[in-house]
Amino acid sequence: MFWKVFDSLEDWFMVLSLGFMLVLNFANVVSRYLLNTSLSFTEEITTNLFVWSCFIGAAAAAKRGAHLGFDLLLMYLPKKVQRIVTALVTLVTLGMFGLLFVLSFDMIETQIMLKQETPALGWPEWTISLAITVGAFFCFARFAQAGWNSWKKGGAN
Amino acid sequence: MFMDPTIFLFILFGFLLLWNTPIAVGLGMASLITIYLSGGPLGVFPLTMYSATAKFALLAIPFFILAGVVMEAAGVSSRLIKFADVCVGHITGGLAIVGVITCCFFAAISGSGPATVAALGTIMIPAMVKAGYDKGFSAALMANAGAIGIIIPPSIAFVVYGVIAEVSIGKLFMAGVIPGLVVGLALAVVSYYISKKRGYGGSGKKATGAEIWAAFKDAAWGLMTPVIILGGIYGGVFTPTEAAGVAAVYGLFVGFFVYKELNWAKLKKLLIDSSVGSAVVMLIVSSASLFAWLLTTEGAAQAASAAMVNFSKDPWIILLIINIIVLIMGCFMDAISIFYISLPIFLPIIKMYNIDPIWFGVIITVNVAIGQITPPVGVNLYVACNIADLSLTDISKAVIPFLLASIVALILITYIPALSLWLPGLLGM
Repeated sequence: MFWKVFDSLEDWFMVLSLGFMLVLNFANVVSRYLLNTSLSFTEEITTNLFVWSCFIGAAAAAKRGAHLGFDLLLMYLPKKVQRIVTALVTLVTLGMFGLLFVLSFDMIETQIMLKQETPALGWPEWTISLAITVGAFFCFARFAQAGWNSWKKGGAN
Repeated sequence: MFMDPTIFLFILFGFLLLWNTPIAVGLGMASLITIYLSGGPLGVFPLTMYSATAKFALLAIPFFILAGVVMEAAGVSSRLIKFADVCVGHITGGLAIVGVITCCFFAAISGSGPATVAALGTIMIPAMVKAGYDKGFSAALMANAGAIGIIIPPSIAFVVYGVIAEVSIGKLFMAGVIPGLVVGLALAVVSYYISKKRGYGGSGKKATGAEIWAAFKDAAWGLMTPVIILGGIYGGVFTPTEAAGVAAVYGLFVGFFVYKELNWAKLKKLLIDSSVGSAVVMLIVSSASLFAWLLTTEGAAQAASAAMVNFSKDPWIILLIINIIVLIMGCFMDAISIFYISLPIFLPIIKMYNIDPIWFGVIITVNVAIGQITPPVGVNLYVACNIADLSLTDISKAVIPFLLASIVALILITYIPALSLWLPGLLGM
């Protein structure tokens, strides 16, 4: 149940964010030529949405096992060793996203304290950098899920 | 710290990679541990991850990936193949040459190597096997021809290089056109030669003028895409990033209203697939930025540049050494990681030798394109193996003649700057 909600949340986020970025980008080109007005602020919206979609997408990629790696050596190892190595690699991965999650709080705190704003729209900067916190959480959950599934299957990816 | 931080950084990164750690995690974790042990500020981690992704130019990555998958799903790739087939399918090794030509065309729509292999390989590899071509030969050829995807514009590699080196992405795009065709020509020559030796004949019957015209009309919507993208960028109608979005919208238009092969359910899947594909690249971009930041702040990049400059005063020898280093890196890493790791070192060097950064961008991009087909880590090989149901060992043997042809093309592109610089110069860029 929990993962089902997670799945559709991720999928719809990716569909809507990429779709919206595409529409905004196209609207900007069209308005510049047909209406002679540049919607340059759309650049900031799309860039910010892009940051969010990168990290949510990275989590979705973890679920699908789409992140690139070098698996040749691993495949020559005995199954038991493979299983342990894969578990260790998962722990290292979780360590990185866990650290990213924790450290991102400092960053957001500083941004709130200094009242940093985005240049064109004047939005609070932390609304965008929150993508790192949320994204790190999603990636952590997905890599943990993938690691656990592989452990249950005896180490196969 | 107990040893030179930079050496530690590289050893740790290499060690992590060995055990199938995702490359993005290897880059990030090696950097974090090095920063921690050398007493640096860990707080740069989230900041770098954030600032590396929040760049408008990089938005071209999801857009060009989307444009590629949309064009395939819209039925553009199959029509391009059909058109190339009626043109050259009848000659010796015809189908192999059709594969190379359509890759060159599709490269002008797609900005990614593996996406090009996926879009065309799924049709071409089974068709070639059916026509009597060896399976390994077919898969290896398509894997290699797909690498043209990042040389002929649009190209994800050029976008990232442009961002790192701070040069015009539009100019890089124009500079990549002829080198991409040079690689294509080299592959076509090798496939013709091998086909002749092994007796891979053509379809035998030459198409009539009417058939060629019909296939051309059917493929015209696809053939128009490069004109719109490159014409739009060159004409200053839109930036490369906007062009990427326009290409995707154009593909959707063709898919929904002209060929009518797309529907909403397919669109949802395409959007998800390209989001995931671009996120894989972007996670590498963000953690590789931390690695690159560390190289620069540790002064390692400067030291390495200085060492190379002391090694030789001759720019041609320096370019040779750089090419060899990048080829070796290409066996183990993807294009984007290589850029972030090596460019902080190489860019100051080429500046010292007054080597044009646009020309250098083309050289290193052709080189990392070859990296996509060098085992053990070669993304295009993986895609082609999956399509053809081959092992990495089988395809690795079959890829050797094509690999050599691509390296010859790389040498030509390295030592004849005009191949890269003539076209942008002609256009007054």
